[in-house]
Amino acid sequence: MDLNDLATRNGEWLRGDGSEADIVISSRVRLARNLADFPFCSRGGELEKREIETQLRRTITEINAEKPLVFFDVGHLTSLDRQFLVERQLISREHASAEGSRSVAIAPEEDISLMVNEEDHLRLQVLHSGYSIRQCWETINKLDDAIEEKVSYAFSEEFGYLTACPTNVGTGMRASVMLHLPALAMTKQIDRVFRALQKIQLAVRGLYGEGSQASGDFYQISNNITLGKTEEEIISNIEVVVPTIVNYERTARRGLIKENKQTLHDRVSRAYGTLRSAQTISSEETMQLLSSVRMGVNLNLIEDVGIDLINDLFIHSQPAHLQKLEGKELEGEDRNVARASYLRRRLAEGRTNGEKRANIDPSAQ
Amino acid sequence: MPPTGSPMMLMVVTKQGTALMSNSTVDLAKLRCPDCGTTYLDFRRTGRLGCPYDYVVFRSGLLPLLDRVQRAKQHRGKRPRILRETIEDHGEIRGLRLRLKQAVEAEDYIQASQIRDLIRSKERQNGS
Repeated sequence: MDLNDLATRNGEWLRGDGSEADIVISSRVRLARNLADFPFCSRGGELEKREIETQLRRTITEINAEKPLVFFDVGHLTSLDRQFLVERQLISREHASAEGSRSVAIAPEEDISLMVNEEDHLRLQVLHSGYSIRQCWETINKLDDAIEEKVSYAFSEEFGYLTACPTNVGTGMRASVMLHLPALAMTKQIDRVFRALQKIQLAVRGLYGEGSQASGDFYQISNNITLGKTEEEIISNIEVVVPTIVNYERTARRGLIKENKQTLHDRVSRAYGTLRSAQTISSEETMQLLSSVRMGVNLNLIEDVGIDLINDLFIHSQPAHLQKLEGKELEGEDRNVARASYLRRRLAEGRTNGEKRANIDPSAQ
Repeated sequence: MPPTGSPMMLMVVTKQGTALMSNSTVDLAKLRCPDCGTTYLDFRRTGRLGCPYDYVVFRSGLLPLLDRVQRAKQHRGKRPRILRETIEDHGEIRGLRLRLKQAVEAEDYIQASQIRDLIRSKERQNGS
């Protein structure tokens, strides 16, 4: 697996299928684990970090012998490649910007990534397209068991799995779903939803986790609390809430269609028009416009482009992806010009393909 | 499960790696982990602990914090199926770990590897 090959695909989290995929983009579970015999990463020297890496790399390789994961030495990647892995949700922003020996092991399907020497010695992640938080938990739990058979995790009867930051201690688990909520944002109901979530100890974050903006109307909902609840309870809590929010979003979309169809149709069409014709465009504006178009496609207000292409563009128009696809480093304005040109080309191709599909589809004749 | 209603106890580790228990009104500001050197004040400043053993050393400061942030003080989730050693364990293996750390720091890799083998065999005994 080569990072340049990955760039042409759209990865697991924006694959766009799975249950409720029009609103639930992806589901993810992360576990934080540390080896008992070493200081946490912020306190560990380079020698210790290397030893942790050697030990975990050996273990990860042994347990995945049949379906090998691919290792990347994150410390030796270019900043462009690190940013690329962040955009694909395969490493965290903290892992990208950390120092010293660190790596990530990635499954070819990109549903599993194991970060070594992030804030904790090991951060396991399982990510699936669509609404499948329980499957994520089942997969990661087995993986964790297999690793645990070969290494000594730092564990306390009182505090559970011990982590560098006490906000992760206990289960060490962060379960999250990424939702696309353009109608709730447009109708300004989103803050009310967030306040309700906070009351039941769930956190809302933007696309790239802590402190990031909710760009493109993507929102990550995750558990705030890791101690004193079982993993099962944490997953159930999310499972109770997600269908409710999905329903709110659907109701808001129906309301917009019923009461403001003209305005909504105008808005998504203008967004589509801008993306098809802009000569220079920022990443942030692209995300906002794609968000409108995505909803337009889901509501059949835009019919000549497929949802797959729109999902694709969300990731391919990000700075590092764009530079990988263009095969060169691009700064500021040059990048915005390249992005606009890329969007025009892909959307023009998408329309041609859409028309071809319509011609051979008997129901369309 | 540790007694939750008992008076606050603090574990202090001497240089030999043996543990003493002392009743306390603990002066948190004076606490320093013998394993990693992190002080309680370092932790309060950065929000990050230095090593797993800090959870034992700084326990009396962590409990109210966990109660506030996590609204809980006791883990109820998964536990390792093969539990070789918990952080509350002390004594022989703990002492060996300190010696291992010193050997690695002194770049005495032959001794480090011997100590590591010894730790592994002790862990196997505990795990079986």
